[in-house]
Amino acid sequence: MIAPPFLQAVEVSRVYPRFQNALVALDGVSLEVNRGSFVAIMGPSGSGKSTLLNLLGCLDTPSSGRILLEGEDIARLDDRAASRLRNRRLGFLFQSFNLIPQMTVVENIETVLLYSDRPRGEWRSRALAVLESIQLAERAAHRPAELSGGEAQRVALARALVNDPDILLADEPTGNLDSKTGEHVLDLLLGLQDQGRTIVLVTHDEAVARRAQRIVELKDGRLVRARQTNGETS
Amino acid sequence: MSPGLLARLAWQGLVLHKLRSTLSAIGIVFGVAAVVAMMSVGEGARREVLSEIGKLGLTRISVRTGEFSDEAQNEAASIQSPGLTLRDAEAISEVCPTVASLAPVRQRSVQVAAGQRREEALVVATTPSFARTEDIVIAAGRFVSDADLRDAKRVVVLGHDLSEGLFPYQDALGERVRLGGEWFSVVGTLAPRGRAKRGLRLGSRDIDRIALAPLTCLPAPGDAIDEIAISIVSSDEVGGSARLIDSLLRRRHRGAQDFELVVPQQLLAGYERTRSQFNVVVGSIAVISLLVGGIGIMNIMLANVSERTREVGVRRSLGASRADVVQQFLCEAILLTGAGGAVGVVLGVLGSLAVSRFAGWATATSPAAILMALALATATGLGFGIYPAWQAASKNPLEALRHE
Repeated sequence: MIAPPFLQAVEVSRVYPRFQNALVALDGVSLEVNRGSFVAIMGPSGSGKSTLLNLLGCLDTPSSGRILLEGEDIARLDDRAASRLRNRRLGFLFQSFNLIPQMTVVENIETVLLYSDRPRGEWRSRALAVLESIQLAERAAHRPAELSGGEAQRVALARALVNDPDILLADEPTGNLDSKTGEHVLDLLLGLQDQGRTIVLVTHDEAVARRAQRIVELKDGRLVRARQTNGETS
Repeated sequence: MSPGLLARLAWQGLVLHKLRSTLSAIGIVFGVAAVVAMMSVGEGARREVLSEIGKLGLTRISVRTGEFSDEAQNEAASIQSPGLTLRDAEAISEVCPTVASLAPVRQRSVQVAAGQRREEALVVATTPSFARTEDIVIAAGRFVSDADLRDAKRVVVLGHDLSEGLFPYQDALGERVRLGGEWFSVVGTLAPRGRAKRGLRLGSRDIDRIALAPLTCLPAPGDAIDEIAISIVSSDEVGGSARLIDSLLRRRHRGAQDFELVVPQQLLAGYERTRSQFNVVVGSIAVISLLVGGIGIMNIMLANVSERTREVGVRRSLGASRADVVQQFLCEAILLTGAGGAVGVVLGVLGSLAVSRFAGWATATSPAAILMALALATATGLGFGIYPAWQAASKNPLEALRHE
């Protein structure tokens, strides 16, 4: 028996109702992401790439279609179950880092553990260990405003990783960074893929997308092309 | 999430805008302070009144001639009412079967002297039955006897404080004192009873400062007396007895209102009615204060939620459920009102102490009042924090994340 794809979108549509002419952000998109793979979703602004990522991350609900994680539909989970899933199996990386300004770096990272089942005594050591792994341990007591863009994104990455998720969902993670810092963040992501994590990255930058194993291109809410980064078109 | 963590999270949220949070809690602070102070004053007054009524005794009735309006005096004169007399006391004794004991009283404020020492005292001239009607406890010697009364012997029984004042270093028994211009022999002293509070108009005597003498030693024209102290057999009979005595005396005084009946039991009932009205007033003030304070809290919490929309989105993306978000913001509101309530309690207690010190009123802050004030403040946080917290939790995570 063939195992189902790790993460799968099946004929997913997302329509935003409006007073006149409903906005179709996604229109019947299907996508398969294998465990441990690195997939880039590309497309121009308004193509629906972030919408697809948000649906994969249970931050939004599709108007139709299914999102399957290991064969189980996660698109219609109730709030508690969806929150649990986000906390335990998914890690998010945003373009604008989204660190909580009043908290220190280590507290920001611990926030994920606040909603987990992990014992309180373990939080600080886990947070510091993950900070150490991205060489930012010395910034633990700093506030986000005291960090550079690259450092802030690395802290956001540490936060995404602290609860050991299976899947990392990154929405334009290098969009606010200079090219050198962006490269560094991409290197970190590739390292995570090497460790067996599944990465789905949204970008409009072809150079960034090329770092992935597979590129899925969207346009006007439809999937127009999917290709391997070795040049082959699948 | 543990309460400690929730409190820490709430604290982090509140210190973001320290001044704003403090200002918003001020409504609760003053509301709670006012309630605690008023309850303390009310409780102090209650204890004092109950103590005073207790001293009067709930099986007692006192018939007094007192200060009446000119109109009442003219009316009494026009219908030739003799005022309160010994014959009234005899009539009550004959007619009212529920009277356990009865003592006619004449009293004057005079200076009592023993050697070089002088004390202001109330001379109460009465009969031996006064000891029963007033629950007099003799410390040394004896009380006024029937023989003293019959022979108008110049003997006196001194209240505890008066005796101590006049004879600080010696036994008063057998000594002689001057009451007004007359010499009296001390035949007894009373056990201390406790000072009657000033300012209350219930008419209880300060037993510790009285000088008791035979009624016949203080004669008055027409057998007039100032008071008839009556003890009734049981507290259940007090109401009916008071009505009977009132109607008897009205008839005897030809309808003149030149006496008054003081019935401690009725005073107590009247006091309880006043007390419940006071409670309604205090309760209303508490509700209004906390309502105003609560609206302030809701306003600030709504502003907090609006400003921290993005934080809500981030937390939701990290795994916070709607319930987690509700808990967080609700805890902030409760922390705000709880802290405000605690400060309010301290201010209220200090306020009541200030009232006690500077106005001389008795105050008493009960632990129940403090707990109630804190519970009300916390309930205000809960009540007025729930809507902002729910609003935060209802935000769409995606829209919250995009919020600038």
